[in-house]
Order: sequence, then structure tokens, then C-alpha cells
Amino acid sequence: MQNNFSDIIAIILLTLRVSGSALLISVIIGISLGFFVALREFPGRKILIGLINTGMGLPPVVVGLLVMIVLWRAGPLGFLEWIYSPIAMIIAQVILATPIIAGLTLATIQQVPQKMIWQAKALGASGWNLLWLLIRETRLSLLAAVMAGFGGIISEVGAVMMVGGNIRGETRVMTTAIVLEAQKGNINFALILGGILLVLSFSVNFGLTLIQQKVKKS
Amino acid sequence: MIKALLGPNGAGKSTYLRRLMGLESGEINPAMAMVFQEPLLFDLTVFENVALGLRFRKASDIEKKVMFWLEKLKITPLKDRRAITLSGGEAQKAALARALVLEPKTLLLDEPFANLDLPSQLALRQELKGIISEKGISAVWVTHNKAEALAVADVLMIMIDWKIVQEGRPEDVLQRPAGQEVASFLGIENIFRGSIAGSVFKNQKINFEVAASNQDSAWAIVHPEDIILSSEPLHGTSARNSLEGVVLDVVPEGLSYSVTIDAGEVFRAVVTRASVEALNIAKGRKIFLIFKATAVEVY
Repeated sequence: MQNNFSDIIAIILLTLRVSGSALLISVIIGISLGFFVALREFPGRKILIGLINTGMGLPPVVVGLLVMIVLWRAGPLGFLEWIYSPIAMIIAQVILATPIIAGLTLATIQQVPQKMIWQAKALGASGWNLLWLLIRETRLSLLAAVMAGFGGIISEVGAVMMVGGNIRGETRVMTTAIVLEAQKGNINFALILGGILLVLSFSVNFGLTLIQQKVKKS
Repeated sequence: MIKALLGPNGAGKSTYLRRLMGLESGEINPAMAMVFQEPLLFDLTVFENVALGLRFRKASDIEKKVMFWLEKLKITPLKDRRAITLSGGEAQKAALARALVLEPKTLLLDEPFANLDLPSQLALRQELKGIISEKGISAVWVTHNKAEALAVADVLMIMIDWKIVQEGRPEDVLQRPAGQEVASFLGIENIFRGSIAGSVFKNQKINFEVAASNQDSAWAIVHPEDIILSSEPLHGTSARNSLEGVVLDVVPEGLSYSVTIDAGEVFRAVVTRASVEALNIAKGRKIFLIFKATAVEVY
């Protein structure tokens, strides 16, 4: 077993950094987009909803391929030299998670009865007041949307493999490490990494669940 | 002063109210507050729900104002309860407090008690009526319930098909409905349009005597309970009309029977079970409708 302890720690930390950053960015964009599309009328709204819903099931390998083409040295954004870096992996994961969070937010906000929104406005709610109220009213579902987004990226391997390149110490994350170790025949080590990934995923989701159930009681 | 806006479902009453409030244009009228059929409380405590509009409108003395209205509506003990734990009546009281605390000049009520059981409806209706007159608020009270409208209205407005077709004192509207639609919505039957010449009301289908002077265009109402059915026409008394007709239908209505008769125009009469049996009233039977000229309401 040539992988040592510090290698594993590096992989875990990078996984958390990449998926954590991607989740944060996706939550900000996804929830804003979901609210905007749910509450505003504008031309092309139906098409955008269709795109968001399609985006909820994007094949990660295809996203990886497209991001790779754009960031490739000869590609349109090649000069940024982001290919095979954690930034490229974050971009791919944001593209995967944002539609999931936006789509679930959209569905959540569309379920709020129109009368509820009228009532808030009749009380004199400004746009920000209304936003605050709606987030409060739907916080359980919104946290579920965040969990779904996290689930989509923490478990994802195709896109990060293609745009990150699975470089040891630089872009190797849990999922790509598992694929590599399994291919090399280190089944036991792959299993240990898999176990750690499950614990990691469970911990984050359990944390979010605690928040969710706490707000339910408050 | 309470204006009751009465009309059938789908007449546009709620939309009318939302327009007044400014919800359709987006320009909210700050002198108004609105209460809907559902309490529409938010997932906050009762106190915070009632305070919500004041906070949005950046008012002062929020605590004092909220406590005043919680007290007034006798829901002070509920102030720290989460809204979702309230009963229907409690929740609607909180919704009322949330609107009243804004001290509106005009209170808009969209079927405010329609979801409550009858005893709570009646109790809250009286309570709110009292508050409205005590505080000198004007209110527009939407309902599709005639009894409720008549119980609360200083002015009755009738809305049919997105138009306010009549507005006036409730007794005037009931006595002189502006047309067949209003009349049938109010449950007024046997209303006909025609003209009056020489004490005879007349249209293409029918004519009968009335106690009124000449009029080119007139409405005549013959209340069902003023009609007597007879197998023979009446002779000699010119003050009574006797019209020949054919029974279209006989429907039992508890202790009495509702009989529809085609006498040129279609009439409805209410008769006792004894009369139905004595006169052998049945579908297709020829019969005479008898009513006094003075019993016909004309306007």
C-alpha cells in the first residue's frame, strides 16, 4: 500500500474544498435563479424553465467534455490555464448542481399559494421583505434542494475526471481516487476510500438535516 | 360603514377587491388592509404575524398596537403560539388583528368567515361589525352569502359577470332588483318586464291588472306566497287577477310544495300539501293563478 496517510488527508481536503466551493456558488446562483423564474414574468420564461428542468439531469461526462473543450489550451478560455486545476472541477460541478438547486427552488416557490404572496404585499411587503418571508416559509424544502445539489456533486466522477485529470496531489478527489485504485486492483484501498466518502457525505447531509429539523421546531 | 359586495361565484368579486387594494397594479394602497377567506398566517408566532404589516410599513409603537388588538379580539393568550397550531377561528381572528392593527381607513374583506362553522361565523361577524362601527372604518365585505350580506350591509352592491349591476340600501335592492339576473340571484321569483297602461301590466306573453299608473317600461314582481291556485277562474272582482296556466312541475319542499306553472310567463307558486291533494295538482293539469292587483310590486 504505497498511498500514505497524508495522501488520503490531501484527497479528502481537496474533495471538501472543490465540492464545498461548488455547492456554495450553486446555492447562490440556483436559489436566486429559482426565485427569479418563479416570481417574474418575462419572455422566454417557459424555455428557461425547460432548460433548468433538463439541466437537473445533465450527464456529468458530457458536462466534463464541454468544460474541457472550452478550457482546453486551444479553446476559447484556454489562456486562463484552468484546465486540470481545481477551478475547472468547481466550474463543472457548479454546472451540474445549479440546475438541480434552481429547479427544486422553482418548484418550491411555485407551490406557495398566490394568495400568500398577495397577503404579504397587501401588508406592505417590499421585494426584500417578500423574499425573506418566502425563504422562511419554504426553508425546509430549500434545504432539501441544497442537499440534492450536494448529493449531485460529491458523488460525481465523470466530469471531475475529465476536467481535473486526476493528478495526484493536485486534482485527485475521492471519487477519482476510488476509480484509479479499483482499476489498479487495490480493491481494499478503494473500499476504504469509498467508506470515507460515504461517511463524508453522510456527515454533511446530517449536518444539513440537523439545521433543517431545528428550523422545523423553532 | 359597510358595503357588502354580493354576487355569485366567479362574478369577479375577489378581483374587484384586489384592484381596490392595488394588488393588480402593484401600487398598494396604504390606507387599506385586506383579509382573505383563508387566514394566510406565516410560520411565525401570532404576535409576529400581527406585527408583520407594521414592521413592513416601519411603524412605531409596534408592541403596544399589537397588544391592543390581540386584547380587543381576545387572543392575547395565543400571542406566543406558532400560527400553525391555531384553530380555524383563532387563526382568522389573528388575520383580522393583523389587518386592523394597520389602522386602515378601508378594510377589504374577501369572504372572511366562509371557512368557519356557522356559530363561529355568526359570532365573528357581529364582533367585526361592532369594531368597524366603533372605529369608524369603512369596509368592503365580499360574500356570496345573501344572509351574510344582509346582516352586515349598510349598502348592498350586487356584482354579476364582472359588473356592479346594482348598489343601494339593502331593503331597496331587495324590493326593486335591477333586472331578472339580480332578482334571481337574490331569490326573487316571478319578475317580469313590460309596460303599464290603464292599470294593466302587459308584455307579449301576458297581461294582468296592477295598482299603478302608466309606465312605458316597468318591472312587475308577483311573490310566490301571494299566489293562490284554483280549479275555477274568479269572476266579478276586478281587483283580483285570475290567469289560466298549465302545471309544469310539482316539487315537495318540506311542508309545502313548489309548483311551476306556464301562464304565458312561467310562475312559481307555493302551496300546502292539502291544496295539492284537494286540487289534484299534477304535471299537465290546467289551473288558475289568482292574485290581487295590489299584491303585484311594480317599479
